[in-house]
Amino acid sequence: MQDLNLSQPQAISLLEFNGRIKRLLNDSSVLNCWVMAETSDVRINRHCYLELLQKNPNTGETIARIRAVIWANTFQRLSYNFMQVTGQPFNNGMKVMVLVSASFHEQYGISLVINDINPEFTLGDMARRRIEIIQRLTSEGIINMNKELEWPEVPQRIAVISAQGAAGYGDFMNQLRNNPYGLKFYTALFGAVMQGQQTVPSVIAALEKIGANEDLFDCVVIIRGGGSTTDLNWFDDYTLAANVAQFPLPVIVGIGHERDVTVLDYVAAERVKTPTAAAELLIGKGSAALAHLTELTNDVVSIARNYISRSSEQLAYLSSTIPMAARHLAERARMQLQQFMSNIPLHAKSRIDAEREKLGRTADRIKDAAARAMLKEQMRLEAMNDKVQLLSPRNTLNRGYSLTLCNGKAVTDASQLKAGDVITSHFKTGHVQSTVK
Amino acid sequence: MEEELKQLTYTQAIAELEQIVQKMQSADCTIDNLSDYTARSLQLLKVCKSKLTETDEKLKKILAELDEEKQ
Repeated sequence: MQDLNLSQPQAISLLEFNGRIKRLLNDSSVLNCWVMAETSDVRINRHCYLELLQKNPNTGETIARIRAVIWANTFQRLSYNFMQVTGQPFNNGMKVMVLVSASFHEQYGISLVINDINPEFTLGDMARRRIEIIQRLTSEGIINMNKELEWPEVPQRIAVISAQGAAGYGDFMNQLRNNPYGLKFYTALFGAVMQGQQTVPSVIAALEKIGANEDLFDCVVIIRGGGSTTDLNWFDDYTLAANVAQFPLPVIVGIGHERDVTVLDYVAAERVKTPTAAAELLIGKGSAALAHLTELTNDVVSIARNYISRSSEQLAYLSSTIPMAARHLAERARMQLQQFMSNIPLHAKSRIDAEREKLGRTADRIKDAAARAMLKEQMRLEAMNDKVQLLSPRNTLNRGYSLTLCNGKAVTDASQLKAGDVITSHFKTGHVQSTVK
Repeated sequence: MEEELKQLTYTQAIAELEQIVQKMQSADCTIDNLSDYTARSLQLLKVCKSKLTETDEKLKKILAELDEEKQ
């Protein structure tokens, strides 16, 4: 056993070793040095205990980590100042610039003691983060989607996202209810946590619930407030902003105050400072619609009135002009008639003349035709006459022949005669009677 | 007629109203249809106004069911 001990190297106690580390850390390079880090696991119990981290900006993986503490008396001063500058309480997930000294405790190990915080750095980082979110929403083409939605004529059915029982919600409801125009609004509250880590998931859950009943609502109002202006940082969230930007109903955001702007203010259809202002905005839209209705009523009445008076004027004019017009018309008709009448004899005469002339021409044609026909007949008669003349008994007698008649009949055969017949012989001139022997 | 008017949404009513007023202002309007136009537009105006100022109990009830306070 002793041999074994002798062969062992010389060892020191852990306490002593830790003491050496502690002495090593007493070096200006790790004392009062400004460090940029991210806060995590912040616990406040008079003193503020936390972890400082550095993450890989691309992967989000933690690449450095150390415990830190802010002693109570320092923390009181620093946290007040931090709130004044950033509007936020000192909390988790913040980019901070802290003045630190490495400190080693033999029992608890290494940690950093924070002696100062530069709140301007955190403010700058918040602004930068906000700008990054806005740039992302812009490049994705969704930043103006909610703003470009068409508002219903009068938004009366309102989905409200707010913390139940919050003063801001009460203000909003009172303002709506007591509007001086008697406008009716219908609201449904969708409760959500409006600060702290649950803000984003609970507001998104409320939006989803409203989205499922989209047809029942005209718009969404997201309100918080009354009281502190703290914790707006929770609304600077890409997912929430993207949800609001793409929400199918117009969203009114009333979560900030004078000075504070969150990313939601850039994407919502309307941004106002307070819940009361959100109510005023809605009342304004309603009262504008009422005013428009009044205007239309006046229009209708005045148009109708104008029409009636114009029509009765027209009627009066017509009633005064009708007798004149009638006289004028009658006169014109009479003149026309007269003209017709004077034209009638003229027309008649020329018509008669024309007929007469036609008739004359026809008569001439008839005469001509008759004359021609007569002449032809005459000539035929003459020809016949010549023939008859040629054949007539007289002609034969003339040439020395005689004609014997017995009992008025021509005797052509002597055997026809018997003695005692009285016959008459005709000569060219005269005749004789003889008795057959 | 009453029923038909009640069925109209505010948007429909105001759209028809605008249209009628436009017609009344145009040459289309004659004394013959003037009284029809006027009567219809005054009815529509009444509907619109009542939609803005009178409580719709049915709607109120539906929304109250969604309202988490009442659950």
